[in-house]
Amino acid sequence: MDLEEWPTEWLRAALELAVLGAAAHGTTYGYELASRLAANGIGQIKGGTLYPLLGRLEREGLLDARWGPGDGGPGRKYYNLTPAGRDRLAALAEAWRRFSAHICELTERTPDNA
Amino acid sequence: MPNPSDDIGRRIAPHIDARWSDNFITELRLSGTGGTAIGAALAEAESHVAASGLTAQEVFGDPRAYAQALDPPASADQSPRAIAGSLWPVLVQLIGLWLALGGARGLGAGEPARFGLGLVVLIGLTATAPWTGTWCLRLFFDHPVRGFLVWWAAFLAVLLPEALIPLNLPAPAAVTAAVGAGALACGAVAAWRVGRHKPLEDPVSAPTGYAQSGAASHGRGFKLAPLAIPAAAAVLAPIIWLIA
Repeated sequence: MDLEEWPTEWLRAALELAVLGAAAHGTTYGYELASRLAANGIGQIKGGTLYPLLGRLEREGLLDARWGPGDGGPGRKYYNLTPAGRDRLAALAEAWRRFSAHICELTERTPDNA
Repeated sequence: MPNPSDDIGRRIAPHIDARWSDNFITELRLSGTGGTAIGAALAEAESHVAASGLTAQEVFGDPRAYAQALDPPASADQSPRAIAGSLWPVLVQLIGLWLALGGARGLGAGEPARFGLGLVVLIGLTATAPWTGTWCLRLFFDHPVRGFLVWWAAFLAVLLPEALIPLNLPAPAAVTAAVGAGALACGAVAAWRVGRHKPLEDPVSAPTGYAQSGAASHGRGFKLAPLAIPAAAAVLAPIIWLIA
């Protein structure tokens, strides 16, 4: 399957976890986050999807945001994971691991694969 | 009416197509978003567009759908209650205008004051504007033809009763005109004071730390706005007095 063609439902379900994970690598901004997600095989996430999510995560206190200068261009809104964001990331990542393990187990032990 | 064509919009987002940013700003305005939050949302869009080299339409899609998806918290300053708090001097001035013109009509005819019903309709429309204004603006934005028709209907609802339906109240013309002039003056002073402390305008402003900073300033027109209704009264009252 083409990496940029994940089913929309999967992306919708996993995007918060993916964004929190990408933000855990250090101070970042919207375009860089989108590039990180693409470089890690999540695909090209549209700004119309990414920024509303960033806004919600900021309002929920999972991301801390501040404005700063950009590289030769206009300013940027930089994001950092808050302690609450790290807790949320850890909880979601653990849940995702268990969930995906169940899915793998279920799909790998079909009669055809046995 | 929101003014999406503020220069500040261009200054904040020079890489974004003006039509896209106008629609984006207008949709956020109609959702009750404050000027600071609009500036921040526009600046973040500009930052992404400038870094990616793509257009805003390519990155964010339809500006109105994107503005709705952002779902920023509504500004308390844009709530109907807050707008009503800033609008009452206008109501006082309109009542003053109604009294002054009724007095002038009576003075011209040598009779008691004679009022028109149209200004009463206008006062009612103005009083409900904080609650109906957004609906009207959204109608203009979504369906310009229907919005135009509604505007004309409101215009005729004021003009026709004013011209055709007289209200004969037993009030001395001179006293009515004097009370009207007093209300106009008090309303103008109140409008100026309210505008100075709590301006109805909430200009789009760039976030702190953003390179293209600045905020749209209130122009001379905004400063002279409290004098608009008294000026209308000063022009209309002598005309009505002469032709009555």
